[in-house]
Amino acid sequence: MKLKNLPPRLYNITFHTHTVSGIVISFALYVIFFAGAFTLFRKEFYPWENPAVRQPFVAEIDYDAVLRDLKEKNPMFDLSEDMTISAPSATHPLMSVSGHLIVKEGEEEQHYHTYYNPHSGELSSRMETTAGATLYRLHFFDQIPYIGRYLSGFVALFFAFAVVTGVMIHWQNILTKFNGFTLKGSRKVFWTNAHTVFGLLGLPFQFMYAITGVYYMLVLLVLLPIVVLVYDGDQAKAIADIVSQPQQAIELRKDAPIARNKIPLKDIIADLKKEYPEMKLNYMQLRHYDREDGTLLASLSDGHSFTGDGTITVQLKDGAVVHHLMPGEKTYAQSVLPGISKLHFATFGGLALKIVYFLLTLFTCFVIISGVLLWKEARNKQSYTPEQKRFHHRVTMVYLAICFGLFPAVAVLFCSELLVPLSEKHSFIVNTIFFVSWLVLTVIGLGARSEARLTSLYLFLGGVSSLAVPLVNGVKTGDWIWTALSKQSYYVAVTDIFWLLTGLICLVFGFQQVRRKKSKTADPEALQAAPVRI
Amino acid sequence: MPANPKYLSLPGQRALKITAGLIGGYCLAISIHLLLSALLPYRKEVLLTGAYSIFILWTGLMIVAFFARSGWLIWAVYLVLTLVFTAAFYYFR
Repeated sequence: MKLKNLPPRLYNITFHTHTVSGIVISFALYVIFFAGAFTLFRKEFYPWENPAVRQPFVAEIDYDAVLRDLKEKNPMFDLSEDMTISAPSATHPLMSVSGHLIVKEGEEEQHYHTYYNPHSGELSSRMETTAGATLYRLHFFDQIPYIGRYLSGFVALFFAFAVVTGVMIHWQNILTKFNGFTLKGSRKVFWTNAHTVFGLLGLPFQFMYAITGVYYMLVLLVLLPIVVLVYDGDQAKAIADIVSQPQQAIELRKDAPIARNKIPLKDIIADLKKEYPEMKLNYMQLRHYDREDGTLLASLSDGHSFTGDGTITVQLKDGAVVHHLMPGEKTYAQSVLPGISKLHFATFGGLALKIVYFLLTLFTCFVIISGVLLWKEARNKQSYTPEQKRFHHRVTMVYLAICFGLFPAVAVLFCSELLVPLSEKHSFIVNTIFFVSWLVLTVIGLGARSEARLTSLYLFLGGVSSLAVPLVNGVKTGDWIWTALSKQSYYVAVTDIFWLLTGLICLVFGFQQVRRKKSKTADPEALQAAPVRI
Repeated sequence: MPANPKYLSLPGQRALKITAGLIGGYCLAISIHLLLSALLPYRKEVLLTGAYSIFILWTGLMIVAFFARSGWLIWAVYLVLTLVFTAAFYYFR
């Protein structure tokens, strides 16, 4: 079945804008998706990244005792100011406390952040390890000072543009191409159609990421005119109205007396757990913790449904519920921003959903790469001068080297995380190793003569460095895959198994490609020189 | 494939269309949302929906800008509509 096509002028314009926007953002978008794919599991591989937290998860914590201890060690910590405590979980057994320091009246507020280890009872003000944070920050180019976030925001915007124009181009044949997709037939046909079919398969996913990604990076562009024009520049009013924080609406008295007796936090939490047995505590916000009118807001979620989260606010002095916004009670307006967050961070369907997201992310990377290759192949014909062709080839090689070089570099990042000893400079050294190795790996790839050779080179480099990850973990921490499994450190074991399988798959594909090339001795460039028709 | 160059615009026109889509499209997308927030009895809902709908609309307006025959014309259309919608927003607010 054929659908109505665009008239020739609009078709050609759309086609051109799709090509140009796609080729300009391609490698940046690949980096965003590739780093983002790992970021999905940032919490899950945290115990791998930080051997210090490879410990059973302690559910029962005496929060009051931790805060007392914190106040004792840091007398400037302000117990009356707002603070947020994130509860430990199986993947992240540390508890974190964010609050404020006591400052003189009129002075700028000072934030304070610390981690508490329930096993050792230690408080430490900084996270020692960096792999997850590095990849997380890389996925919005946060390492580029000042403009990195905006850059990634506009990449996401142009991605939305490329997705929509892509659909418009393929509109006419979208159903026939989709239904006609097959793994049989020649490789050429497969690769040609793959860009379209995988693009279509991932379409809702990609469009969702384009739009939610722009939202996160360019939200300021939307907020600014709204605050200025709708709220006459009153920022506080705008925030109170739009991002309604139910707990913030509860008035607290500045001169509230110091609390004499209040219910222990762990008892309040235990009560909540009894009342909502299927929900887990994510974090809690304390206001006026040491005063008579103190409140606790608990954020709870069941972790496996889209609207299965909520907050409940209780008074510290008597445990009375003063506000609740539990599942089913939220209005549309209260659900929009959390909904965007759930879609973007895949936090509404457990691990299975994250795996689906991960695969779709890899599909997207594939669509990006195949798009670059199509761009080059479509220009591999008589009407282009040899000079232009050389330029297209060089651009493709540089793009592929940057994109494919990131994969072994991520494995190197994981290895160096455990190899570089913990110290003040740990994060800096590990990050330097990561970025320098990415650069070196990119440069190495540029030495390859053809795209096919470059791909097999990176399959080998990626395969070998992936295999190194479980080895490094076994040697440095003694947690070989089997020991981790027997110790029930499943997240550590699965991270190792993931890298092991990835390494093996890459090596198998790499050897296959080399063998194929050897059997096709006539023309080694045949694979990439084949004309591509669309 | 690739696109037939006879349908594509010249560099000056192209620059106009790109800026019209990026800047004009952004302003128009915002002003439409502002107007809707003033006209509909759901101000908060409209503004929050804007968290995604503004970007979707912006994307659409960027594409439409390329369809215009003249870059000057599309700039004028986006600019006039933005001014009209913003004025209407102030009037109905």
